[in-house]
Amino acid sequence: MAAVLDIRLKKVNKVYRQGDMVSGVVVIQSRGELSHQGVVLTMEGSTNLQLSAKSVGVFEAFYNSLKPIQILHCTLELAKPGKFPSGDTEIPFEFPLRPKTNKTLYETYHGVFVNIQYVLRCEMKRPLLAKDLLKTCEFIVEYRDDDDSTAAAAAAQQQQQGAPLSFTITPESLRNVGERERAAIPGFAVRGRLDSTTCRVTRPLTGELVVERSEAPIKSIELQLVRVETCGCAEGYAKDATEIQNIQIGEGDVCRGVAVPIHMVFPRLFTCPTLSTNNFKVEFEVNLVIIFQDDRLVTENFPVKLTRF
Amino acid sequence: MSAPRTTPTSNKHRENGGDIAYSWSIRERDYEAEKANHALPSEEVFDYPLKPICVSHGKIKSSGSERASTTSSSGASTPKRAAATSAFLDPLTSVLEGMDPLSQMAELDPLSQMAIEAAAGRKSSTSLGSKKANTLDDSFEPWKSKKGAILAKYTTSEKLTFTSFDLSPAEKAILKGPTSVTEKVKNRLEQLDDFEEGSVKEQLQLSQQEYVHRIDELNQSLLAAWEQDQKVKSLKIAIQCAKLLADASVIQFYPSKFVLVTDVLDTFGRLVYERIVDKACHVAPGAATRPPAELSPEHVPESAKETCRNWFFKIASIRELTPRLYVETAILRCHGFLRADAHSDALARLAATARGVGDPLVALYARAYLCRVGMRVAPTQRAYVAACLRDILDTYRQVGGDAVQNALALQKVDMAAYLQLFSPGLDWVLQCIAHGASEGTLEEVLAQARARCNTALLLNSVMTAFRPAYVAARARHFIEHICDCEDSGFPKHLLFRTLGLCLVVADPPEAQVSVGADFERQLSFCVEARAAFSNLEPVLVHLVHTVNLLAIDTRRVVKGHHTRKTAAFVHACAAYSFITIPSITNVFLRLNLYLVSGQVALLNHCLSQADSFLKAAISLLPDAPCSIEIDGKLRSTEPLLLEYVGNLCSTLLAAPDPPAQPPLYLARGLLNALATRGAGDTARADAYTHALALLSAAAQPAFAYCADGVVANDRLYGNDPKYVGEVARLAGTVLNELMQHVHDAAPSPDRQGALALHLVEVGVTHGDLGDPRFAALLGNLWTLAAKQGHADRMLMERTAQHVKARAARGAPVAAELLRKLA
Repeated sequence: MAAVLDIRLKKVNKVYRQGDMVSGVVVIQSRGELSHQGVVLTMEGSTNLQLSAKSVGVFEAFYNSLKPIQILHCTLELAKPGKFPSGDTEIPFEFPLRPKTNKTLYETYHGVFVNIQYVLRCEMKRPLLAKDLLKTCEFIVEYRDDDDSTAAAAAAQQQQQGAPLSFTITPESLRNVGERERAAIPGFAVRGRLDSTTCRVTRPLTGELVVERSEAPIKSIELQLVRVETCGCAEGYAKDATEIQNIQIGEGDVCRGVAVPIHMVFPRLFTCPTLSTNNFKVEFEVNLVIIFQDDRLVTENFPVKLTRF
Repeated sequence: MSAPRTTPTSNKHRENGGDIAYSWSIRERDYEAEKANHALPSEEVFDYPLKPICVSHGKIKSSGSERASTTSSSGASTPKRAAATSAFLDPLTSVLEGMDPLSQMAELDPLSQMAIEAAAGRKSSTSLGSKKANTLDDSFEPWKSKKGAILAKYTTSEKLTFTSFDLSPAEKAILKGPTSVTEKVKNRLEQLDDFEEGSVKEQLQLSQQEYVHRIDELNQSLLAAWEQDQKVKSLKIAIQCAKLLADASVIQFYPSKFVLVTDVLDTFGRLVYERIVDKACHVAPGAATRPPAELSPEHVPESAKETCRNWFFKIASIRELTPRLYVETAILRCHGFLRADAHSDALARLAATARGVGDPLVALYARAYLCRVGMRVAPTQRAYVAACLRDILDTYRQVGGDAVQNALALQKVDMAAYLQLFSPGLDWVLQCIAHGASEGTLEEVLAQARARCNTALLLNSVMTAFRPAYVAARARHFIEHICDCEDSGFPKHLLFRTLGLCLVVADPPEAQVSVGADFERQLSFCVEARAAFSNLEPVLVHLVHTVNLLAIDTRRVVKGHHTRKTAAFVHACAAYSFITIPSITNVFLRLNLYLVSGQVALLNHCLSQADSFLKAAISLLPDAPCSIEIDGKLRSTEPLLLEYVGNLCSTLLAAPDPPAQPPLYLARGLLNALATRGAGDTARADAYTHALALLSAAAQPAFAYCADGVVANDRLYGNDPKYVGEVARLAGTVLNELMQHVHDAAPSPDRQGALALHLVEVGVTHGDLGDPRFAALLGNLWTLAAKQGHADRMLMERTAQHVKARAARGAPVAAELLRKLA
């Protein structure tokens, strides 16, 4: 007598904003009568921080995992102990989406060292000898257009950063190169701009670049999206950068003097609005990488600020 | 002993024919009376008699189209058609209905028409946005019709590298069944990464055929994966295919590779699109199934949109540029689910993205694919096509860059061959621009091309892609362009070929009525062309014909009455031909051209020129080889030569003798020319019979025909007995020569019989059967032919019948001959 428990959200894309009603039904499918000790539905949201082994050592990393910070917690008793009839039973539910006091609803984010996750957990207690039934369902939280604190707070700053950013890359513009090495680099000049370094996560990063000249043939031009997670600000922090996407925008020895578009869609789930809290930070950078035929490469780094709106 | 030996006969016209053994007795003919006599009774009608009477106008059209479509199926007709039309269908009737057969061919039989309508209906009903504007009319040549030619043209015998990927780990991963959405997505992306980065299984060296087979296999596995709901695997296959296009090694195969690979991508695009349509129409929870017609973005349910977005996100994360560009283009149509006006943005963006592709060939074909999908999905959009062309012009210099030059050197492909690889793609882009574009747009493109990138390659594609009528109307401009543009290795003769193809389809502007600049410029173009292609025999032949046509057109314009100026022009035409013909090496081509040009000159009253042409033709005759090689086999030229002599004789009749030359000067020349051909030439005897016919016709008081406005020998000599006598004497000489041939043919009875019979035929047609001596000669020949036994019995029978019928009508026929024929 297999019974199945399922959570079905009303919204197909499972995306909710603060103040929304998270509504749906819990479905109990059973062949034959099903007795239980009560059905409870919990809505939870938490931030999990993990210290990188690279920064603090394996031992500490294992033990010093910071305690999850709960930012949302509600419980609903869907059914008192009793019996469900044979067939499908649908129990509707709805939760208003509000954070615990003094907490902020951050956007859902799955990183390597930082995880912000929201789930619905439905639990059915069963009588002795029968296994309890459990079903979880993740839902996604996004900012409303007025609670993207970073964007709202820095409106003026954003105005400034919203302006296009021009850049020119030449052997002379390179840092971390010794003078002798610099002289050995074949001459090149790449000019370009990013339309803005403040980007909405739902919109692509745009801009263009022109290879004005290059003595050595070019093999590839790539955009690398890097995520920088920083944990534990109070007692010394750990900072880790991971590549989350690499997109080629120039292939082969691209035509000189022709504007090649810079265009990168931010991958869902791996990006979120740039986040800065007391305990952790999630930031993003874009590297423009020019690879020459001889596999020499030149990288230009652009910190970008991501916003929801 | 078989040659008939009769006593020498006297000839009534002869004055001094003592040296002649036989004489040709010419029958005087009244051509007008003969014509009236032979004419069939006729009556005036108002309807075309062969038109099926019971069929209405509309029916005829449809039956015509049916016919067009069933030509290959051995004319099996449907009962309906049998009832609608009479048993005999004259193919010309449809033409009389004012529809040319070609436009009828374009129509389809009812069944395929229905199928197409159904398909179009489905498409337009599921397409988003305005329906009417979203279809291309028939004047746009579809990609389908180009594929075959590309595959046939761009082939290679080199080994091709086919990078194969291990697709199996993906399946395992799927079976593991990740739980949360996030994990699933992560998992899928990892699979994609896997596939992109490391899991290259093998690099195969394949022949072209194996390669084609591999791509076909990929197509099959794409469909299979899709069937099994393995969407990620399907995407992987699409990416793998698109990756093949980033590889421009074995470059001469690239256009064909493009054809093959984009077929797979089209399949992928269609599957994704249909899947979302399916979702949008049937998965809307609770709601009744929505008819696909209402699928504008606001009607697409969120779940379908989400699926759609997922595809776009996945594709946007493809690492490499070329595959990403191709795969996104493949599913371009899906943008319509999200936003009604999304196509134009996407098209513009993708067009710009192609600028990042360094290899000019790869970039061009990526753009061609974009235009191909774009034309299908959003046929009203053109801005992106213009952008594509602009980018092509801007990046054309890449062709001369080190990367390309090194690759070409490595692959041992020369520049001309390399540039021709661009043509199918460039043709397509330009076709998209040209389709339905105004004259102004086309001018603009042309001007842009000239100003920014004046290359032969581009000009060639312009001529291919633009409407032939457009090109033809500016034929002269295009010639100037062709002369001006830099070829950079692209052979210019191809340009002239393309221009020629346009002119075949559409005529250049009609020349004005006054013989002015147009005619003269055409002639001077021919002069230039002759200089440019002096070593191309077919071109020279064509030029001579062109100039002859020019002269004939001039004649038509002035209605046969030349002014001083037009006369000078046709003289110039004749001079052109006369100078051009000798540089052709093929004797038969030269013979024919001399004859045709002579005829043209004659029609244009250029008598001395006509004379020169005919003289040249006659003096060339001895040089005509006895056998030529056709398809590697040695064949006798006898039939060719005979036909030619017949044609020449017919022309000589209309050509008056030049002043200060003895009568029948050209005919004499012909006889001499024939005599100089080797004795072993079997054609000679038969050619003599043609000459006999000519001489017989030349002795008539009024000739059967003449060139309009040209006084022929009949009126020139006014049937002067001296002239007639001269003709008869000549005929006698020919006859004697022929009799000698008959005599000499004795060792070969077949030949002798045939020759004798032939002579009888000509004699019966042209000779005076009332002359007893002549009749006796024919009678002897007849007996000889009958005796040899191998002559054509049927022919003999009919000849005998003819003579008897003539006798019965009261024509004088010697009784002796009639007895022999009986």
